[in-house]
Formats: sequence, C-alpha cells, structure tokens
Amino acid sequence: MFDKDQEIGGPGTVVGSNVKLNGVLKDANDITIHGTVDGEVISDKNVQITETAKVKGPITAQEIIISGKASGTVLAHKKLELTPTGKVYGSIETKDLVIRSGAIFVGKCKMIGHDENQKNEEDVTNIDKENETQKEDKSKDEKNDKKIEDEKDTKNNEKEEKKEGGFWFKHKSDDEKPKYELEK
Amino acid sequence: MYYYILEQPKNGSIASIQKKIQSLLAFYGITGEICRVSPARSIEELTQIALAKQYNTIVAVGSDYLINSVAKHLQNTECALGIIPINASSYIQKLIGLGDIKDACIALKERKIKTINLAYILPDNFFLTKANIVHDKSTIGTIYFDKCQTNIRFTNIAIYSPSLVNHDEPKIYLNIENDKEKNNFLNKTFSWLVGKKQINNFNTYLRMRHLVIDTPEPMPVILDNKIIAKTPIEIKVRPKVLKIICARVKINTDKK
Repeated sequence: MFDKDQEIGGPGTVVGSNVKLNGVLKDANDITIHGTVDGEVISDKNVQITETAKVKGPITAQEIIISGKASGTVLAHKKLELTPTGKVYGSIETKDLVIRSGAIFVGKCKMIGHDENQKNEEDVTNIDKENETQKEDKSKDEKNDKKIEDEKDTKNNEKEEKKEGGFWFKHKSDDEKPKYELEK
Repeated sequence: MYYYILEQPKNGSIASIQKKIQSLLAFYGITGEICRVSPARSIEELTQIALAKQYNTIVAVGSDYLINSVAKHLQNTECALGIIPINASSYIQKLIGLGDIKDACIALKERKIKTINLAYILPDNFFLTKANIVHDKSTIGTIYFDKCQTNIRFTNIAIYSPSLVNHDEPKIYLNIENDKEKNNFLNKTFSWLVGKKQINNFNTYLRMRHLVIDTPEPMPVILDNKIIAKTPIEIKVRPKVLKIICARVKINTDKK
C-alpha cells in the first residue's frame, strides 16, 4: 500500500559543509553548522559548530559546542564548550564554561548568573573607587607642594634682587623660619 | 454524506482493490456517491461537482497525485477531505496515521477531523506531502528563505509540507542533497588513505515559513512523477486551511 519510508525534516536545522549562508539563521530546534554562516545564529535549544564550520556573527542558544571557528559574540544561557579544534574570536557570555586544551579563545569573557561573581564585581568597583580617591589626594598634595616651591622661588628671587640693590639677608638659624634679619 | 473520487485503474490489481474498498464501505455503512476520474471528467471537475452538491466529505481513493489534487480544491471550505490510499507514499500514511485500507475505512466512519497547514506554491498550487526538484548533474541554485540567502550546489531538493512533520509548527521543511559531493571519489580515497571515517555532512536541512528557489535554467518541481511547477518558485505556508479526516489515537490497554 505504501512505499518505503524516508527521513523527514532531519535533526533540526543543519547547514551542510558545502553551503554558505548569509543572513539570520533562527530556529526553535537544534542548529548544526558544517558550512559557513555570515550572520546571526539564534536557537532556543542547542547550537553545534563543527570542525569544518565558520560563523561570522553573534551566536545565541542554551548550549553551544564550538569545534570550528566563530567570530563574534557568543551567548550561551546554560553551557559553552570549546573543543580542542575550536576557535573563538570575540566576547563570550555563559553560565558554565568548558575550554579544552588546544582551543583558541581571544576576547572577553563574562560569567552570568553567579552571586559570587556579582560580589566580586562589587569589590572590584569599590577598589577602583578607592584608587580613584587616592589618586585625587595624591594630585592635591602634589599641587600643594608645587605651590610651596613656587612661593620659595619667588622669595629667593626677591632676596637676590635685594642683594643686588645693596641689601643682603642672612638666616638667623638653619631652621626654615620665614623670619629674616636685615643687616647693613 | 460521502463523495468518493476513484482513480482510473491502471491494472487489474488496482481494479480489484477498488472493488474490495466498495464492499468495505458497504460493510461499515458509509457508502455514498462514487465517481471515477476519466478523460471526460478530470479530478478538478469531479471535486467542483461534489462541492456544488454540498457534500460535507470528499474521499480521494488513489495515489499521492489524486489526493493532492483533491486537497488543492478543498482548502478554505467546510468540506472535509477523506483519504483511502492505493499505492500512495509513506507520507500519506504519516499524514493521516493509517495502516491499511480497512483502517482508512474505519477512520472515515469515525470521522475525526483535524485542520492542517498546507504548502502553497504561488500562484495557485498546493501540496499535502512532498515535492522534489531533481537534477542528474550537480546544479547551483539560489535559495531565499525567511531572512537568509544561500547559493547551493545540489542534485536533489525535497520540499516537505508543514502538515507532514509538525501540525503545530507551520513551517516548510527542506532537505538539500548533493550526491556528487557525497560520492566524490577523491574524498573517499583520501579518507581511506588517512584512515579517517568519512562523515556525511553535505546534506542540508532547513525550516522556513517562506521560500524562494531559483535556478539558472527552469527546472521541474515534481509531485508523484508529475510536474506541478517550474523554477523559479515561491512557496509559503497557509496555516489551518484544510480539514482532513485522520485516524483516532488508539490507547493500548493490553496487560503485559
């Protein structure tokens, strides 16, 4: 009554190794990429980038496994895994990160959904603030020192001028007291 | 009230199956008007006659082409499509969830109706199951879908109607194959020499709501060995447009 059955639809979206896609690739199911994608890749489930694959653009999914090359922001809500052949050039954002030996990752990394991480971030910001206040204080001190030196210089100049005019000043003591005694 | 459209029997075995079906219909008490497709009366004419007579169920008894042709005229009507497949593809079986002729007759009697999505080839073609674009040599085609575009080398593009895979998700399913690359002698030899297991990653599976396929030369779109369109083609999903009689889900109550 019926002829032989065939596979329908396949295992989610699959981009073959001989395919170059341009644009936004979006699917509610799993996405597997063997070829090249120039654009955004969005899945509600998992994304797998195989050894032969190249993706130029942001990738967003629950779980992402990268064995090929990915350039752009990678956002994995649950887990991101870089296999030994995986290369990522761009920032990554994930809750659970696995980078195998041999993988290449050039970019920034942000771990999401961890309280400790948030605390650390707060600490870092506090330290930064303290550093900033210290820097401000230092700059103020330096300014005051400069002022004092300038005043000293001006007074020395006056002293020299008076010397030239027939008057000369002599320190009463070695202490730096701003008192001078006029001698004929 | 049932209106049956039977295909013209190509051989004696099909004629005997048709006789058997008629006796089964009488047995289950669902007889109705029976018409045969002939050079004098096409499928379209017979369907239009049935609609004019205000039958609430038209039953297509035959192959994929007959079933698809009847379905084409029943979209957006109150009339339901019944199916009794003879030499039909497994996709029809999957669509209605039936095993054999007897099951089909029981399903018609029980009359469980569901509304399904159809793939619509612009300007005026529909298909329930699967259409193919096949070429002996590897050809480059341009495919535009949703927000994507790709140039792809293929030997076979299979387009599946949304009703076949998931009734809730109104999406067309596309399988693109390139047998030439898959069976490339150099690739096979290299893999054998290196001792690497050859992985078939040349097939592409895509899902979309809107699809345009263009080829350098017009290529036929084939449904059940009959040409229904030629490239370039534009295909869209028409959600919930056809009422179809399908099998009831049987709960297995057998105790182990």
